[in-house]
Amino acid sequence: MFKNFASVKTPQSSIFWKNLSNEKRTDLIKIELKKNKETNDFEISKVTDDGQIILKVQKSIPSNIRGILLLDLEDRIKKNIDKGLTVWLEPVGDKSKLRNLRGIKFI
Amino acid sequence: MSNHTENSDNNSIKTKEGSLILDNHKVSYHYDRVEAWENGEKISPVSVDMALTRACGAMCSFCYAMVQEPQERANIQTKDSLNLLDDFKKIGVKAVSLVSDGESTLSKAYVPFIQHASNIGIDVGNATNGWEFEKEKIDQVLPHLTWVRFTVGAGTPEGYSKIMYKDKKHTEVFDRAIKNITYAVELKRKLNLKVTLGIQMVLMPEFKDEILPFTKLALDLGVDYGVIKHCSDNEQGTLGVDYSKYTDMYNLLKKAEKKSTEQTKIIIKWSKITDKGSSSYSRLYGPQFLLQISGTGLVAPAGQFFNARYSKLHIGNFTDERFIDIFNSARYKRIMDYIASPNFDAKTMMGTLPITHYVNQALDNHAKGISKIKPSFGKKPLHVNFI
Repeated sequence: MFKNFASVKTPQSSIFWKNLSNEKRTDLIKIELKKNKETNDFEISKVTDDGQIILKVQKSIPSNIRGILLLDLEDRIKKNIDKGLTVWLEPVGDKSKLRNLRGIKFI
Repeated sequence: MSNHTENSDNNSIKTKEGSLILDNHKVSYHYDRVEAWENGEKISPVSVDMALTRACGAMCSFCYAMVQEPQERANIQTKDSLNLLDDFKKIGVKAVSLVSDGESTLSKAYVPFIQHASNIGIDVGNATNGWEFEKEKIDQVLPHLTWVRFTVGAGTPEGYSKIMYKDKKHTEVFDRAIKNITYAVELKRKLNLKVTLGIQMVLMPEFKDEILPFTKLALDLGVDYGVIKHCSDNEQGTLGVDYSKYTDMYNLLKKAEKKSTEQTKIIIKWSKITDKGSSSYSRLYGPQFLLQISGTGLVAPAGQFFNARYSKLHIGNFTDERFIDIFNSARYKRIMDYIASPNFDAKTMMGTLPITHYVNQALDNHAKGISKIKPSFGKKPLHVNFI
């Protein structure tokens, strides 16, 4: 049988996390980033109360590598800091010059 | 809500050519995969939604592609696309829809891709603005297609040009689309082709004055259907869709629906419109049955994850490695497992009403025991492999 998590709630960021200063949160994430040479040079763009960790990556990481690299990182962050944290990268805006005339900006 | 459904269980519409299901899923016709999924087995997608390029000459104000940009854009070569189809065949994919995040008619691979898919027994459908879908191309692909759905943002030339192109003065794009749609309808009739031809309006509340002109246009063109659907938005609301305003349009939509004729059905995707951008599910099981691939070659569980933001859900790129190797990889399974795990919540971590919405909802209801999927027998609906 498949593992049925249909009704299980997604972990939310804890009081511990919410009570931390932004600086302290950033420090904790940096420690996890440094543990792997592949994520060593990732920058932290934003951390939020509700557990969103937005990272900035300058280098190009092939699509067959980046998914697992980031899921491994998220696993470490959940295990070592707070199970309610989740990892994202900074979004990329539309490269279509024509559509950009619409003035839509990725929030 | 619809007043002309043939079967309210699956919202099917009776057409001259068979039952058409646009406002529901067809998973119950692929029950062997539902059983395999429930047994914890890795399953092949029944359908794949993809594009052959991310390029597009239009600038539709409702276009979700504006928020789907990944890190890199690979150029999909014809050979890559044909290899992809051979891999689909090997693993058991039954249908491919060329929709996703680009205008596939612009790709050099477009004609050979459709012809090869048809030759090896994979059904193909295509959504297009129709601007580059000219006579020569239509002649080559229409006999091989299961359906073509033309994106027609509005019923008036001015409204169309304003919504899909630079401004209301550029009505030449409307004229071009109508000319090509008309030719496709004529060819279908002349050769008695099985292909279903429809036009689709993506409704944002500010387009409500275009609902009835769109309906008239569908009837005038003589297409098989005109469908009006909601507009999706990402979880940050980047496109600014105000779902609270759809309710005000219900009467107008019902009026449009009543204009259906024997030849042309006017279909409203009521279930998605009345969901108002919300979903009942947190886990995402649908992508195991309906996978999405970007016009950049990127393979991800859903088109809403193509943007670099969702890189942790990027599985690979079929222009860098064979799709069959991506499908057989541990990363494919891990990412599919992740979106079905408590770590992922579709209500907060992705946009509204994804292409897999109906399938997600059905599988989630099945998993929760709310409504069990049962195998469907008897005459199959049209486009049964496009779940």
